[in-house]
Amino acid sequence: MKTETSQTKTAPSAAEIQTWLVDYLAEALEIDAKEIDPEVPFQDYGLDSSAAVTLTGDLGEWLDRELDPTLLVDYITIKQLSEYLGSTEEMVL
Amino acid sequence: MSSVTIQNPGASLEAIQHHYDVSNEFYKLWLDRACTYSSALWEEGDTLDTAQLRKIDFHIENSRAKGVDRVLDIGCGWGSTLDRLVDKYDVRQAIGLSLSETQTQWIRDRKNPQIQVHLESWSEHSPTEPYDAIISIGAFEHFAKLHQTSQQKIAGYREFFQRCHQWLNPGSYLSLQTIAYGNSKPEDFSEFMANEIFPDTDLPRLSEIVEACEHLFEIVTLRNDRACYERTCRAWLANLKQNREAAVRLVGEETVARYEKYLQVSIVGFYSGKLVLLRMALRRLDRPYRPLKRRQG
Repeated sequence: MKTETSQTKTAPSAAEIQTWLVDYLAEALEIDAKEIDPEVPFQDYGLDSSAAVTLTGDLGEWLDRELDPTLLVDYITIKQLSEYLGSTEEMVL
Repeated sequence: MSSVTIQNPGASLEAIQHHYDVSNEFYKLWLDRACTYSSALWEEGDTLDTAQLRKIDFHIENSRAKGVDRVLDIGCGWGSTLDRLVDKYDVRQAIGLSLSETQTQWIRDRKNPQIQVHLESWSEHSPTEPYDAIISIGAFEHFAKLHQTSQQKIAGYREFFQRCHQWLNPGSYLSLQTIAYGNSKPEDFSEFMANEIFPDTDLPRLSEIVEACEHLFEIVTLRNDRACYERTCRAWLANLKQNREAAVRLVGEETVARYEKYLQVSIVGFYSGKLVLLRMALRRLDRPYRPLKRRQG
């Protein structure tokens, strides 16, 4: 339930989430965003569970949504994760 | 009944204190009422308190400790199992071992004449009388150091099982609960866990435990309850979030954030199966294996 004073903000689309994730990973790995393939599993970029938890936390902060730390276990690539989050606006906890 | 003190093959006193001596008050904010710091055993309709009690009862039954004379709890934490043994299971004497000063002091301050606690590792323990049951919940995780080879780990674990064998009366049981590597290898785990949470510690693999206890104990039951630990970590994290302000006042923002992350990483580990939670009942082999002597000619 939104109050009249709150700002209405459109949730980012799957494409926007994908761009955020590509940029995030590129920055973390210190490589060019063009080198990130959204269909390659996070694990293949060397993301361990600690890094995955940090990513999920930062993503949740950007989306202003509470995200479950296990998301990257079930959605193993940037493409899968952004499509899932783009299609769900409910709290995922 | 005494044994020679050997060098503790597992995590050092400093390493244990790094994790467990943060502050009793801090742990009280997010653990259950009895401050049980290991996976609960959940069933339908449980709260964290009832699930922790169910876990303690499970191990007491698993170790056949009801009504016996003397029970040893290796890694006794804040003493919730010791209390339960003497209060509800008619055990005459419950003896706990812990490497945490705050934990041992906490138990001593309660002044229960049936409970003794020693600030020492299993490798330093020298009982004067045998035990009728041994319980060890969430301590085995600390029995090996990082970067040991599997053979070195097994040798250390075997020393532990030899001690337990030596201290137990014939036919007695050891009930063991430990986290172990599941669908993973040590190198899959982040430096965060190794450096920030459990320094100096390496987890066992099931195969290492099995090899280490061979011919000393027979495995009677084995359960993998990783979903229980995932749920326990979720309950702890929810409690910590609910009491976050008080926690920050006690130990500071950095420590609270470190524990939040540790709980989240653990949730991921148990959810994915990279970590498992083993619960084992081990019966002492009263006549350990001896090779068959074949007659000549």
